[in-house]
This record gives sequence, C-alpha cells and structure tokens, in this order.
Amino acid sequence: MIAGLLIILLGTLLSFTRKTAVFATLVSIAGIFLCRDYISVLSGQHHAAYVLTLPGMLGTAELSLNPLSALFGLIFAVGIPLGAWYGHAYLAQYPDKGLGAHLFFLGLMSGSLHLLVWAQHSVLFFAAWEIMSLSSFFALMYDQEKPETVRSGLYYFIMMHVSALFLLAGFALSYLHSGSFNFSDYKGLPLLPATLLMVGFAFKAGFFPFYSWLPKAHPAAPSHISGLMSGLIIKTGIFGILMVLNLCVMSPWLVLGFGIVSLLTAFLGVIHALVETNIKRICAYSSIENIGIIGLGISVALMGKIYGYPWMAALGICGALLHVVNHSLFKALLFYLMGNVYCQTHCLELDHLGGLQKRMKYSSVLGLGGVMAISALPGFNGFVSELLIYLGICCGFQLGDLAVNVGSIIATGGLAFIGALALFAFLRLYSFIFLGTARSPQAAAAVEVPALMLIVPAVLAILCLGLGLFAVLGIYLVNPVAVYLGYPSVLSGSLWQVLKVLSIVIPVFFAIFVALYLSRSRFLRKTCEPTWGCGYEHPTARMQYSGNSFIGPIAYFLKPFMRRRTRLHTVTDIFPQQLESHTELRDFVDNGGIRPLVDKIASVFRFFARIDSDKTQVYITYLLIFLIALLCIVVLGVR
Amino acid sequence: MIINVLLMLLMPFVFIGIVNKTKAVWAGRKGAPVWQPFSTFFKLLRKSEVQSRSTGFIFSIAPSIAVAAIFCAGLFVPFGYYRAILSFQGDFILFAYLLALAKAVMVLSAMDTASSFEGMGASRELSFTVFLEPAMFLVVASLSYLGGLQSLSQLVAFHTISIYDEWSVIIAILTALALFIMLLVEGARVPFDDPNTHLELTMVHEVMVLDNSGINLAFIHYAAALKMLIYASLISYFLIPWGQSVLLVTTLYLGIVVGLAILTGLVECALARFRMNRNLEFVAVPLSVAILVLAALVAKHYGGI
Repeated sequence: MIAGLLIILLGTLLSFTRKTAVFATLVSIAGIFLCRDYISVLSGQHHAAYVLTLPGMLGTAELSLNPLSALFGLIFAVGIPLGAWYGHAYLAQYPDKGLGAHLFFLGLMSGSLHLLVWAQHSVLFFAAWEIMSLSSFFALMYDQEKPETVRSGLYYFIMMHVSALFLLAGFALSYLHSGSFNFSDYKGLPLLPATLLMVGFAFKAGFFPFYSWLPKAHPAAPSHISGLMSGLIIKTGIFGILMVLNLCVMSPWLVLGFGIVSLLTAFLGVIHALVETNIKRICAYSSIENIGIIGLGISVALMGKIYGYPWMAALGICGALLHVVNHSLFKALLFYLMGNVYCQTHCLELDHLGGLQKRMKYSSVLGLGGVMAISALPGFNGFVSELLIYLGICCGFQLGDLAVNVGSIIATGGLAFIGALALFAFLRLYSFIFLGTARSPQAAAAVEVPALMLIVPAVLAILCLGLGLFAVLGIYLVNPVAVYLGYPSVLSGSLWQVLKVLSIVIPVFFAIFVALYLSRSRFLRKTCEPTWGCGYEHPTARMQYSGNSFIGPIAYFLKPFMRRRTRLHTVTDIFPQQLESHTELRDFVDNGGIRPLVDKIASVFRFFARIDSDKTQVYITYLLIFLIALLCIVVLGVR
Repeated sequence: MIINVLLMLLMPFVFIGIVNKTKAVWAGRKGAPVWQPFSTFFKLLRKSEVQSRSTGFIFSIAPSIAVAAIFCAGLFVPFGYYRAILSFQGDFILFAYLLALAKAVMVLSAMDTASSFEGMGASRELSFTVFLEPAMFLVVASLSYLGGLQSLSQLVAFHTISIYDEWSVIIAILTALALFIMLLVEGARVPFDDPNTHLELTMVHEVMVLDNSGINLAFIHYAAALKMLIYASLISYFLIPWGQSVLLVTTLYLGIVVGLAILTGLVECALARFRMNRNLEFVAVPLSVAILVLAALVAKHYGGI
C-alpha cells in the first residue's frame, strides 16, 4: 500500500514535466501494487495494517482494509489507470493547455481515493474526502476558459461542501457519542449522526434530492474526468453509505423510506436521461438511475435482514455490490466513447450527430456493448446484477407482512418500468449517435480515433462481457464483502440453479445466432439501394427522426414529472420567415428546489448587505449604537 | 422436450395462418390455406435481399439475434404439457429481458436505415414496451404472491382455473385478459397496429421492418409469430383445469391456442384500429389489469371478500 501511494505521489510530483504517459504508467504500476493488497483481502488472506500517530487529541489512526473497502479499492485500482491512459490519449489533442496542473490534481484525486478506503479514522477519512472533492473540482475545471464550465464547476464545488458540512456534523456527533475517532469504536451509532453521515454521502452518490450536481458537472469535465467521476467518485458515496449502515441499526420505516428514495432517484434519473439531448448529460442522468438501482438493492438487503429472511438480504446486497462494480465499468466505457465522439465531432448535441457507425466502426461496436450492458440485456454484466436485485425483491413476496408483499410487487413493476425507460433512453442515444446518416457536417467529417482511445474502452467492454458471460466471477468477487457485512453467503443451491440455466441459455443463444447468421451469409445475394422513402425520391439526413420526436409518445405521458420549456417562433406574416424552435429540459430538483432555496437564503443575506455601505461614518455610527447598547446591557445587568 | 422444440418451430406459422383464415372467412372470402405462412417463409428464404446504403452491420445481424433471443425466451415457456425445457425460480426476468433484447436489436436495425418512417415505428414500439414491461412483471410478480417465487412453468401450473374456487376463476380470467392484450400489442395486431395497412405512417411493427427483405424478412416474420405463440401458450395454461392427464392437457392446450388465434382474427374483424396518438393510453390497460390481478390474489389469500 505504501509503495502504491508513494508511486502515485511520485506521479503527482512529476506532473510538472507534463508527460501524461509517465503519469499513466506510474498510476498503472501503483494500481498493480494496490490491487495485490485488495485482492488478498477479498480472498480472505492476511494483510498489512499501518498505524499513524496523529498530533494532539487525534490519537492514533489505523490504515487498514476490510473486504468492503477492498472491493471499492479494487474498483479504483482498476478504474484509475484506465482513466489515466484514456486521459493520456484524450489530452493529446490539447498539447499544452494547463497540463501540469491537471495531472497534479488527477494524481491527488487518485491518491485520495485510495487513502479513503484505507482510512479507519474519521479525521483522516474526512481529510481524504476533502482532498478528493477539491482535486476533482480542479481536475474538472480543465476547460476553465468556458463560462459554462466555471459555472458547473462551482456548482459542484458548493454541493460537495454542503455535503462535507453534513459529514463534518455527523463525524463530530459520532465523536461525542463514542469519544473516539476510530471507526472500530462506532458500532451502534445513534440515529442522528448516522442520518447526517448518510445525507452527506447521498450528496456524493447522487441520490434524490441531492443529485443536481451530476448532470452539470459531468458534461463540463473532459471525458476522462467524466468517466472517473461517474465510474468511481460517486461510488465513494455508496461506500460511505454501506459503511454507515454497517455501523448502525435501521428501523423498517427508515429502510422503506430509503427504498422509496432510491426508486424515485432511479425514476427521475431515467426520465431525464430519456428526454435530455446532450449526450454526456444523458450518461450523467443514467448514473443517477443506476445509483437508484444500487440503493434499491441495499434497501432490499436491509429489509431482508430486518424481517429475518437471509436469502433476500444476501441477494439484495450482492446485487447492489455487483451493480457498483458493473456500473463503474460500463459507465466509464460509455463516457470514454462519448469522449471519442466529442473528440472527432466537437459536438455533444444528439440531433447534430448520426451515422458515425460507418466512420468510427470500432467505437460503434464498443458503444453497442456499453449500451447493451447498461440496458441490462442478457449476456452483459448489467443483467447479472439486476437479476440478483430482482430476485431479491421477488423474495419479498413470501414475507408475512402484507405491506412488504405489495411493496415488493410494486417495486418489481417499478424497476421493470425504469428498466424499460433506460432501454429506451440508451437505444435512443446509440441510434442517434451511431446509426442513420450524419445530421451535421462535423458528424459527416468524423474519422476513427487513435488506437489507445479504443483500447481503453475495449478493455472495459471485455470486462463487461466477461462478467456477463461468467456471472459467477462477479458473484465470487462481491460475496466476501456481503459475508463481512453480516449477510449470509449468496452461493447456495438456488443461485447455482440460476447460474446453471444462464450458462445453458447464453451458449444456446449464441449458437442459434451464429448458425442463422452464417447460413444467411452463405445463401445471401444482395443488392444495395437507397433507403425506401415510401415513394419519396430524395430523402435527406434532416428528414430522419429527431431526438425529440423519437421520445414524443412517451414524453407526453411523462410530462407531469419534468419541466420542458419550448420556445417556438411561429409564422406571423403571410411571407415565409425564418422559423425557430428551441426545447430545453430543466431539472426540477435544481430549478424547483435548489434555486428557490438559494434565492431565499440570498434574500436574507441581502438584508445584511443593505446595512453595508462604503462610508466610514456609517460604520462609526454602528459602532456607537453597539457601544451604547452594550453600556445599557451592562448597566442594567449590574442593577 | 422435442415436442416443445417442434411446437416452437411449427406452431407460429399455423397460428398466423389461422388468424388470416379467420379474417378471410369473416370477410366472406375463401382465404389462403392455413399453411400459407410456411410457403411465404420458404419463398422469402429463396429471395435475394435489397439493403439500404445507409445501413451497417447491425442491420444484417439484428434479425438473427431477434430469432435467437425469442427462441431462447421460448425455452422457459411450457408448450403442450406443463414442462419448459429450462427453468429456474424467477426465470420470468430472463424471459422478459430476452424479449427486450430482441426488441432492442430490431429498434436499432430500424434506426440504422435513416428512414423517418422506421424511426417513427421504433419510437412507438419502444413506447409500448415501456408500459408492457412493467405490466408483464406485475402480472407474474403478483402471481408469485401465492406460493412464492417460482419458475414460469410452475407458476402456470399453480394458478390453473378451478370451478370450485371462484377466486381462481377471477384470477385466471384477469391474467388471461392482461396477457391477451399484451399478445395483441406485441404481435402488432389490430386494434393497436394493423399488419395489413398500406399507409406507413400508421404502422408500428411493419414500418420498422420496411427495409428488410429476403432471408432477414423471413427471420423477422418467424420471430414475430413465435412471440405471439409464446404469449398464447402462457394464456392457455391459465384456462386448463389442473390435474388432467398429459394427453388431455396437450389436446386442450392446442385447442386453446387455436381458439386464441381465431379470437385474434375475430378481434381484427370486429374492431377498427385505435387512433395512433391515443394508442399508448390503451397499452396502459394491461398495467391496470395487472393491479386487479394483484388485488384478486390478495383477496384470495385473505379468504375472499
């Protein structure tokens, strides 16, 4: 561990050389060192623990691992080097644009992510948390000359500090309660600090109603940072939540609340992903959806634990943890591919892309993999984790309580609804980027990206496919964590049956597919003609369905749940004019909740601003008033 | 098991043939023979393909994937007797996702052609899915309320109709109704979609495959028919009383499937297609029927009203 962190530190310090390749190599070597630690902990072997003596009342801090932190550490140790290599290729298009500082903060971010999982001491943990938030903020601000980036970056910065405020309060209360900074003394945490900590972590993870920073920060960041933020950084929130849940005892009502919040998060995330037209923001909203699904898995696990139904609990927690792993893979994959698209077209608008399949062949194949994985289609890893969560929810049918029965049935329907909407959103994303014909000159001029920008996504896609085809690997990976968290092992007879059937169906599927495809190719005689335009002779690219019309039927039903502004300049005169239509999606958590709240707070402060003035006399008057008031109080007090 | 595979290979064509025959007879025509879809299938296999210039690899692989996915989904459904080839507790999730996979690749292949009509069809198809998927999950999940999480084949055997239990009749009929509406939507039949319309603007499934021809079109026809047969099979078990001999169950099963095909044809004759922009409101009906199924199950569990 020490070696790993030192190598990352070396990479960070060498950032002044602006050699992204050196940085990526060092981070990869560090990743290998750290991976060894994490895997040895996950496989139940002995591992090293380090004790730091901190000054003053802070006492000694232990740096050690448990299976939970090892799993998250492993995700970071795999994700960061891939991100760094992708960044190496991605930043090559901006040869000298603040590269040194960017690499420095990237290095700090990587180091702090690892320190976060090792720290077993609240102050150290909080310090790592702050370094992570700050360094990711600076890394995000790479395009700082764009006002949009600055605005989004500051939004992220402020949200993270509101989150830090909750965490600070939570940790302070935990210290008051237990008299110690060590997590090992926090067993049986009371409800108040636990809730404060959960809220703080929920900001980072992006739960409703704290998710509004995600769709702002991700599109503003360069693509490798978006991938790292969505794949790794928001997972620290889940890590924190799992850590807190491991320390305290939840009541059924709180768990039910958590489940409802998770479903809401997933639902709101997915409907915004469906309607949004900025490709990176679609991915950001889908991260929110996936966080919701993870939260649902966690609440299923807690429900099973409370009602004494171990099989349900085990399925829920394993599904949630596996979804964390899976999401870190396929979301990074999608963000890197969006980076490839942006790199070649300099455009993030869905309706200005199209037809990239023919010009960016490998990217489009990888993108198909990513889309299938995130839509949880069988054969890819997303399906395995969602299957476990579904099975966990379905176990709730057997519990004695009618409310839990009906609740879990509704949750099944809700998750299916969310799943179908996610499928819709990602088929839309993929079709409008890669399929059809180019809708703009930039898209028509795109060419394939350099090899390294394909190798990194390819590695992620292979991991996605591997964990989907060999579902048992992923389950072996997360099972020790579930056992550590006090859940029974999920690897039992029932699950073996599921895995056995999966291992039959997938080869059968591929066999049928390959047989059909090969026999078709054998007998195929084909001619190429233009697309059938239903009698119309000259269809153009602009006649294709647009991103907004594609979701037209369903958006009509989802209207109550989102705020869409449409501005339309219609014809007012008898002569033809320039027409314009502009549709904008507004997030109601941001526009309906946060902005009015900020305005209220600001109006309070504006009252104080009014007494502010640039004349010295005014301040002298205030001083006099204050002194007289003080005199009165003192005199009255004496009497 | 061999019977299952044979039924999956042959019955879909017969099912479509019966639907068409019913429509013809109702309209006073003689109609094509019941095995006409077979002949069409083999005719299409011999034909050459015309492909759009704007299409890529997805367009050529999609129909094969769709057939493979729907066939694999069919492995979890019993055909003939209460025995599916594969099953596990909760296999309806894999079943539903395999059907979704088929739909996903077909949507992608439609979008690949850059045709606005096919985009329209794809958009409608996906909008239907958004309501059908939760309905499917709700129905099956509700049925699991009594007797716990089971596989599809156990589930249909558990919830068979019994005239001595009024709740089982209600549940069976409601479930069959929900599944029948799903059959009509998924099979792209009237009143949701008209397979014989001549106006591309008003189609859903047919417009999505507008650019397909030859072998690919044959695959698509088979996949669509197989999907209808799968739904018909699921429905039929709810209407067969429990505890019969293998022979009787198989005979009843075939009878009900044929009956459902005739019913589908009759619905097409008796109803006009719904207005396209109001279609989605009717697609939400199975969702509400699913909730009724749940209510009936809860009522049954608590000993009736």
